[in-house]
Amino acid sequence: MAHDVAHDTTHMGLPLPNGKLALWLFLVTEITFFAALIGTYMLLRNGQPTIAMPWPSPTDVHLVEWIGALNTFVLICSSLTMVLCHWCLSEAKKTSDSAKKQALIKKAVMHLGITLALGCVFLAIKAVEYKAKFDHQILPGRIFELKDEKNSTHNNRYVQVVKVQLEQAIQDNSVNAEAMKMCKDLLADIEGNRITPKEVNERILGTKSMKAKHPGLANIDKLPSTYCDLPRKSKPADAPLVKGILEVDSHAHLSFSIPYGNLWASAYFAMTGFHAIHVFGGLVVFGMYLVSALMGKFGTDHELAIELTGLYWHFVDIVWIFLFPMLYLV
Amino acid sequence: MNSHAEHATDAHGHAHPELGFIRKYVFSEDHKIIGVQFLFTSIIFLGLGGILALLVRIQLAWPHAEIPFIHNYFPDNGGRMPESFYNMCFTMHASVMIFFVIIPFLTGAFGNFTIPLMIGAGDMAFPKLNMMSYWILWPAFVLISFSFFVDGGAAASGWTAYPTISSVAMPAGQGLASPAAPGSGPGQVLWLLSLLCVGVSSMMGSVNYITTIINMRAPGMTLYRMPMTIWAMFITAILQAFALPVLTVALILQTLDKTIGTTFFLPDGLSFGNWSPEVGGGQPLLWQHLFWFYSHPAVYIMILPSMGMVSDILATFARRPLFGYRAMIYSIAGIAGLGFIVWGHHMFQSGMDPRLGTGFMVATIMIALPSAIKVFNWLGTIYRGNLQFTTPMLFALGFVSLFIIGGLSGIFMAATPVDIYIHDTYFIVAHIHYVLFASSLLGIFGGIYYWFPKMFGKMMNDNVGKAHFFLTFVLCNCTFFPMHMVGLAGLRRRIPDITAGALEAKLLPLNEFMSISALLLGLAQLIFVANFLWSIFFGAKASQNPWKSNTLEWTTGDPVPGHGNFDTVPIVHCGPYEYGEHGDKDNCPQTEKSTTPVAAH
Amino acid sequence: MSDNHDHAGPGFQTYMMVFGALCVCTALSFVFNIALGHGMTSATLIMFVAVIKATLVGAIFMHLKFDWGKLYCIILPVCVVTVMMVIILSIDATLVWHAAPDSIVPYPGE
Repeated sequence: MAHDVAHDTTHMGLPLPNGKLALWLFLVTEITFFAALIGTYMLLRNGQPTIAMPWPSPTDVHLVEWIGALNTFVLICSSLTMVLCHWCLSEAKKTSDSAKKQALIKKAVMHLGITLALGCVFLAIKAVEYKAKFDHQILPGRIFELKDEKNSTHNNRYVQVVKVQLEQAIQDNSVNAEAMKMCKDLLADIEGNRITPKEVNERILGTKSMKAKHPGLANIDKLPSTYCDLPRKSKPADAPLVKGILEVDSHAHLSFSIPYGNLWASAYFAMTGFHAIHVFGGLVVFGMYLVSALMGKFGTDHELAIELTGLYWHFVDIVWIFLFPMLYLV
Repeated sequence: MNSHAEHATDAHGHAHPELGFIRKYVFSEDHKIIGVQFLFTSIIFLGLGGILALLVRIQLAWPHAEIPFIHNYFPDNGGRMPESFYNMCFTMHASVMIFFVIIPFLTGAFGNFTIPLMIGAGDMAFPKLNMMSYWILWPAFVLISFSFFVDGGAAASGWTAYPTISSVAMPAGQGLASPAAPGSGPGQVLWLLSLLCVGVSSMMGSVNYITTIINMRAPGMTLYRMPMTIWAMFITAILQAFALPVLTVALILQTLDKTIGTTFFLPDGLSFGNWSPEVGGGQPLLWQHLFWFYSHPAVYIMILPSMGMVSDILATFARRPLFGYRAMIYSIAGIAGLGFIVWGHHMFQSGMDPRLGTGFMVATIMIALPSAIKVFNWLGTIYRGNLQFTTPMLFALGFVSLFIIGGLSGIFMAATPVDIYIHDTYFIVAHIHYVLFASSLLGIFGGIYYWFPKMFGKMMNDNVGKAHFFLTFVLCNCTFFPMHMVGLAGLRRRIPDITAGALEAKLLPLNEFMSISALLLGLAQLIFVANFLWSIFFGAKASQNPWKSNTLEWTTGDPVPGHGNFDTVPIVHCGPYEYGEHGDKDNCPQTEKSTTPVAAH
Repeated sequence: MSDNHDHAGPGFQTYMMVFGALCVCTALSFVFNIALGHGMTSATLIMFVAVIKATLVGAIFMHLKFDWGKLYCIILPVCVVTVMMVIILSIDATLVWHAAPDSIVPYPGE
């Protein structure tokens, strides 16, 4: 817009609209935000677990890689449709043919709608993933990560949960014959108060599986550990291997202790949770534009706004591009 | 997130429907009103923070006496201050002063008020965002004030809130009798949430300021013609925008630790008396890194705007150009840049890797250089100047002199071997208060006296102002200088009863001296508040440019600018420090072509 | 006060090609995970692919290829500072641990 004064006409500032500059500044703060979260994750993951007690494996925590990959694909598609929406609007702005303009605007709205739908699909898939975790008690503060303390409420809760799971398995007849007998024995021991939580865990997992999970375990046999997952020094090194119910029937629905599981759950839910909140925020903005489109008020005036929304959405996509491999694959 | 480009149409004063009182003065989008709102709330919180400080000082000087006025609230302890309450006092004193006083004063009040005016814009780039950034402080105020009254009391683990003492979830219903540390209960959660609100407010504000300063300057106002106040606000906004998200993450992670049982900061094998969190794996040191990554730039956020304002005030009242304008800009940028890589100097004693400690030590010592350049440039500015000892000038001179002391003590603690001895002693407290009270707050006072005519159209009483200055200057030195001495003698921080140890008990007389000075210092501030309030209504009417300053804000209004600030877009022809001989005047405002070329610096 | 698009900008073709590249990269990282499991090599390769994907999205979808000259002052220092922060955090937390991978400090008396 014109200034009606004679002066040195150098435009002060960057050849960028205020909104775009501000949005990039906001995105840069978000970069710092997620970098801090990712830094926390990297630090906790590399700092605490050791070779003997590694980070939980994806199967232990019910993490399915291909679902994550599917989510990545969904988000990439939504990024594409978002950028196409903007492209349609900028083409509409360039053309002077009114019919073509209207057609392009309609296309833009359609692309925006698809972006919103794909974003909802992302959140739905996330919800399915979260439900799988909830069902297995994989939540911060609830996940079983057994320690040696007597009278530990956490350990007692574990035994209670396993008791319910055993009763369910027996009632549903959902395990094979050998496992069924082991379940009944275990349940009897629990009800008779003859067994410690550590031993319950070993009976479920099996000593061989526990050892296989921990390469470098040979050293750990000699050193003290407060985690229930590892055979204690007090047991002789050549003690007979306890057979685990899960070794006999891997589909049995029984909980077991996951070392550093709470840390894993903390990091996982913090990172994916905040990402999901950002996705939701984007969906709200899309919704607002779609509503204005329904009211007939959406047009080429919104080109800059859509571009800025698109920038935000692509940033959310980039964050997921980093989160997915870091949480699922690596 | 305001995604619509705001145009500079406001500068052309187009017709607006008349706004009601609420829209004009309460939920205002005008940066000047918002700035004044920040000013008022900061002054109120200065009072609250000051009262908390006095409670701390009273306990330190008279550890076995009843607390005046509120002793009835502590019948179990004979009216004396319980240790847990002492912890709350120093924690909340620091939190309130840092997050609710100094930062809102500097970035909220002065940033908002001066930026559009000094760059020749009609308002900020995003007025609605600006308004939101003020109003989101109110939930923060409520949360932090409310935290005193919840079960377990306010946060009491220091403003630094180190885990594991702060991040352990307090078993519900047990309050202060909980086996977990007192001060780690709901009050801590409210503290965390309150600081999150402050962080969001600051981030919104800084995005606004950066966009405004980059994109909305008047024609001719190149970056190298901006006054130092604006440069300081610009770089401070950058610091805030880029460091705050890390604090946000830290606060969120600690909140999660306390509420839903995550273990980001809780390590294995933790036990508090009979109680244990049972799971672990976290790293307490992680909090310290994340916290200080923000909080070190925060301390520069708390001093740089003051430095900028002082530069402008000194130049105006010395009637001389700022010495070394470009060097000042590069120094501020240097301080800010280096400020991002020195956070570990708060952690020399934390058990972090000593090799990292060396790196941080070197970087910290380097920060002394740009700070020293600035001090010498201020001295160069006033050397052989035509000094006018108005109240703002006195405060600016006080800033420079006391900043030298505060900065020098900082160099001592930058060296790790020295810091090993003086960490967590009163030497650190002395440094903090010299740079925050004796420098930053003096600069703030100077700025208030300086821009008062522009904000309210009246002049503050200069004689009362001078009395305020002299009392404050003398008393703050009396209060804080002995802290260097007691600190080196070994007095540790955060100890409620210093008579418990034979070594420290000898320092009681000096502590009494400091506490009495502190009480008088607090009373002296009442003079300022009285002057401030009285002058708003009954002060002498101000002329348009009472200080005969060069910068753009003095060319608007009479003297309070109206909506849109400038009747026509100002054209800038010269830099802000054209003082000295200019024909029959001794200054040349930025909107006029400079007749006499000033000697190049 | 602003000229939004004084450049041609990527066209429809470019967007579709980048989309295709992103899908290929995603599949690639998934394949690396299946083929190489967990470990240093697979982690490096997968993260390298992630960086390529992020660059594509940033440069083409976010227009940074064209706007870089105006925005690098804001983006680059922050990225440098955050990477530095993560590196320093990692040094502090992990170096000591990895110096003695299997040693757990025995409790007193053990």
